[in-house]
Amino acid sequence: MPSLKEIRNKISSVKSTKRIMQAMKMIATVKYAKTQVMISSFRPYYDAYRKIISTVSKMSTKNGEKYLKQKEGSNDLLILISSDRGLCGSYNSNLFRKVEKSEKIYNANIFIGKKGKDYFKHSSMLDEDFSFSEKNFKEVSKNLSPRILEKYLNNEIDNVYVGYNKFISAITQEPTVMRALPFQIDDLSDESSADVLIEPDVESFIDIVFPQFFNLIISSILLDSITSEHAARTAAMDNATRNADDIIRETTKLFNKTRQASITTELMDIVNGAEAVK
Amino acid sequence: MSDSFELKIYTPDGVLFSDSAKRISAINSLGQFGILPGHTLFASDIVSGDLEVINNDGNTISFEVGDGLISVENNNVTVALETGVKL
Repeated sequence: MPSLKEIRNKISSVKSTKRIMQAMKMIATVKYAKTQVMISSFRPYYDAYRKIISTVSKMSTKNGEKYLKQKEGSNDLLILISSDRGLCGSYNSNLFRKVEKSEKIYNANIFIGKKGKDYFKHSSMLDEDFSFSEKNFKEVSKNLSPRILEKYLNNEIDNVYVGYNKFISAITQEPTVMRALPFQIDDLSDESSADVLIEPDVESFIDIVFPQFFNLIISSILLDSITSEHAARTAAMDNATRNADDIIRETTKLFNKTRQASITTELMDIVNGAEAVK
Repeated sequence: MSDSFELKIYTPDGVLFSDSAKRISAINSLGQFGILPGHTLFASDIVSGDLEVINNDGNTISFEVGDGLISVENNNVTVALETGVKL
């Protein structure tokens, strides 16, 4: 049986761990609330873009084909978006499992977030590591997307996939591998595209707007990932706090039992001693 | 024909404008252009610069905007801009 002192130390150490986890939970909750607001303002903007792109991509154009037509090769790039820090439950591991399960071979990788790089140990296509937060995700996307697009348009890569945690709700984040290039565009507009007047002209419009749209896809995925990360961390820290409570309760029970036992033993010693001097 | 159209201006940080309007003018890669009510189906890029909206009361609202695009469909005008600040 552990001594009273050992038990007391254990209780105080679990209590201090609990305090840290509670603080982390509070920070993650605040960040999560912030990114969720960002998502709800970002999505209508993204949808407005998507709708216009969908109309234009129905036209047959020389420039549009580069972004829309499936290429024959299978020189594929995977952009993997994981977190920089741990303590976010199964946020990273579920995503890594999803990537491994698909058994697809990617010829090149780009890692955003340290955990993915540490896990897969592949080298990055751009010889650079990327990190991001809800503060700079637009800049990261703006830096990254033209470089990827350039390689894609030069036929150095045939498909671009992105592995990330899709944000669904505070308790659900879905590990997803999605094709970002060539674009997958749902048919959103009911207008026949032939009647649309486009300025400057269709080909130049595509040259201007499609790269912007690729940047937008990447930013929207980054924002989804960071929101999922904060949601996952909030849930993980909430669980951890609750587990700490359980441990504290159990250990306190043990502490009381042990203390009671030692008091009983002492009492018996005193009684025995008193009996002896009689 | 109605004398106004529904205008929605989106940016990544939220909706900048959502109301009916009488006229919107902006700059695309060909130069300055304007949209009036009843415009045909239309799509164009927008380059950074000034964007002006004349609302239903006839007041002019000016914005300083970043790159983006505009589309017109059934008297609904949708503008999506990378950045946008009301002046």
